[in-house]
Amino acid sequence: MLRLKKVVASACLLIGLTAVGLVAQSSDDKQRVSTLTNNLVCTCGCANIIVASCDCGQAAEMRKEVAAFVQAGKTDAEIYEAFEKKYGPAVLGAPKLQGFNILAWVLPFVGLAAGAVLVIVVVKRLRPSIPEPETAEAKPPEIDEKYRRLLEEELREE
Amino acid sequence: MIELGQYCLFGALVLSAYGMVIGALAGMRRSLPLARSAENAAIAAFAILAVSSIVLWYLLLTDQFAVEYVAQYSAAKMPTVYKFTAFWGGQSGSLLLWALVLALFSYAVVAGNRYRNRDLMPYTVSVLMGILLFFTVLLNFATNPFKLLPQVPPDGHGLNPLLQNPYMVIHPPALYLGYIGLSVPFAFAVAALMSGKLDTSWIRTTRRWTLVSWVFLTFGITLGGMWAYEELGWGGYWAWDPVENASLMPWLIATAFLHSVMITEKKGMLRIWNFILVLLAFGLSIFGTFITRSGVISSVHSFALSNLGPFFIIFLASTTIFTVAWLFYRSPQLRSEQRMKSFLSREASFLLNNWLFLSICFAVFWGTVFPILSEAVTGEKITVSAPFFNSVSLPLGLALLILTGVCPLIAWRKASIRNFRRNFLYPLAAGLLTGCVGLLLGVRSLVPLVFFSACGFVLATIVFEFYKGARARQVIRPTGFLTALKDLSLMNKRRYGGFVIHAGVVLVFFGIVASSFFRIEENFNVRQNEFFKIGDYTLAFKGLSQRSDPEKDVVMARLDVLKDGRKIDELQPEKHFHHKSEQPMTEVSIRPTLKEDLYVVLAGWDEQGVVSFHVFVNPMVQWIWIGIGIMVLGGLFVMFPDTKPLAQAGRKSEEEAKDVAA
Repeated sequence: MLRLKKVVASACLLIGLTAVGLVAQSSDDKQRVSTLTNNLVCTCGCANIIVASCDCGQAAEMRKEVAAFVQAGKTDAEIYEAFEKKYGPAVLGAPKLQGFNILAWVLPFVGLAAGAVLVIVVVKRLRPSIPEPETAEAKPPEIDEKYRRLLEEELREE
Repeated sequence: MIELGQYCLFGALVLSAYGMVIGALAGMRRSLPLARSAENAAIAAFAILAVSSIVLWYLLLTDQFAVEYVAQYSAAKMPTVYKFTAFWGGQSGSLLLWALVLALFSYAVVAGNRYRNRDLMPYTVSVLMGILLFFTVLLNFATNPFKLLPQVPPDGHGLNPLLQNPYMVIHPPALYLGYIGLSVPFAFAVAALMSGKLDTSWIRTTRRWTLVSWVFLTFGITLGGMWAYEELGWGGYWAWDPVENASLMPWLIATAFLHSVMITEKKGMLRIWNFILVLLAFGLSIFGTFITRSGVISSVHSFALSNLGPFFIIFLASTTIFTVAWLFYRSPQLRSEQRMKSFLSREASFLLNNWLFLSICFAVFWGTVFPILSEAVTGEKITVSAPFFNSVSLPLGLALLILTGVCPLIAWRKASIRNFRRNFLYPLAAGLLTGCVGLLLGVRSLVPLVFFSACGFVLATIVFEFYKGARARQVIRPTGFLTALKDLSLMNKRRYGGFVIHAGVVLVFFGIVASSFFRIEENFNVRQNEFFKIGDYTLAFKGLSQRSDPEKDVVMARLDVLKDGRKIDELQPEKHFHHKSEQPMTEVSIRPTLKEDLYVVLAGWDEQGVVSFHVFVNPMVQWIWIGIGIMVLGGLFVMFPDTKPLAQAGRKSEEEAKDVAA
């Protein structure tokens, strides 16, 4: 069983590494334009639809601008900055990691962590203070029997 | 006629106020005559709101433009079906629909509980009538659908052309049925708190209501997504628009609630927690209605702008304070009846489920309200949209998907490491295999590979569970495998219907990940008879043409779709110019297949005959709809009423099982 675990673990790692390598290779200009236009929001007023897919003249114009910037060799950061200057901060699809807006990113995960703490506290509190004697672990063939009983119990409870 | 509608609205207000007060009084005095009186008020409120609604429908269908609402949302030449649905096209009409459905549900609750739940019923009716009172106050004083215009216009504005769509006939009512359905469990919960009858009877009674609401919410949200996909022309089905988020949040909480009630029912744990969840679900459904109808957060859906804000805030705040105060007062009586054995027990796994659903809900809520907050604090208008929600929901979604596979396999009380390993070995292998298949098929990025593996894993756990269950049944009762499978599923519909829903969830995840990570989109500018290529397809532009009908002018493009040199289809994307609206509307042409959708938008044209197209290849989108279809079917299966012979069969096999055990 332990060997199987090792094999699984190394296979996962291998797959992961290959995947990362392949992703790195395939990024070119077109990919960049796509990523950039997916992170910018069209300001045409048709609600927050990303530039890459908004169906209006303004978005088409903005897509051209992005492509021109990419061709001119600007970095992503420069392009975002230029857009922010021209269209205002609302053009960025997600708040920047800056000042008050950091909260937008941090709080969901603070919520997640707080929830985790709460779950742990609840489980701890609901656990009996005196540990019950461990039931002896059944041998594999008996587990099917155990499963069957559990299932029956489960079905009865309905 | 108009006066009749108005009087009825006022009558509904009086009746709901009466029902609320008398219901509460009946509960306190334990008086049956008073309780019956409150119940009759609820029934009368439904009848009178039905009259009021019929009047509005009549006004819409007979083009009475003297009424502001009719003039705003209907027009003489509009097709009859949309005159009918214009009822919920605007704010006051959709609030009337809310009130009507709530009254109908109250009626159903009263009719179904004439001799049951007598301790709870007076308070339940009181709470339901309290909610109805809020909506009738809005209808009478803030946004009256029967308000007259000072001058009768010759024709109405007409319903927004975007809403003149079959999806929009069903989407709002489906969503409303879901939202409003959540009022019933909420009313019973509050009734349990007020009456002090704190056992699980409120949960048992409202189990089906919660499930029905959940099915309607699922269905309604999906219809909205399909509508966006086919009507808005931006190639996607979910924009994380505030209104979409507002519909997602009650769904998330209702889903958490559906899971956690099982622990309470079976083990008597987490009782306070369920009260909190049902309050949250109800509050968020009101919040959702508020966001949709107030336009607080600018959004595509703000078809109706108005100033309902203060009303909603007061209602939400007072409801929350009222409920939390009662909860606080009763909390000493709400301690858990049983202890939890370990972190590896099913109780704990349900907690994990709730934790994730709530975390996702919180993240969505936070992202939705953050722009307002940020503007208030920094004075700068910022955007929180798809890029934010996608990055935040990605890890949470993955965790949720994996737990969908893991949690159901953990046994009640305590699972041992050994059976853990036995349960998960094959599914893990299946997951890994899925990943490898993905890799072989050319999936080269990590995140989708991880998701696909997780999908394979979860699906395998579900199949494995059905298989093991059926085999175990065969041991008790030697029948064919399929019969065993059928018996098994019918004997515990909640468990196995739940698994079916989970299988649907897996497909939805699969479709969402595939369509978000592997979508191709490109813009093409072409002349007549020119070709262009996208994905595996070659498209030939055959020309533009024009037609007109009384409502609009239509420009359409004809395209031939070729694959491997053979013509396989024709597409006709259009642009509609409605006479009554300034913005042209895009009518997308989609070629859906199980593998991918070819999605063509006619973007524009110039005088030189150059026509531009915005073309998408969206992989696996159909699987999302299929997955949701399976989820809805699973939900219906869970609700499916027990048939007598089967129940007997169940009892019999229980006895047999006891014999075996003995």
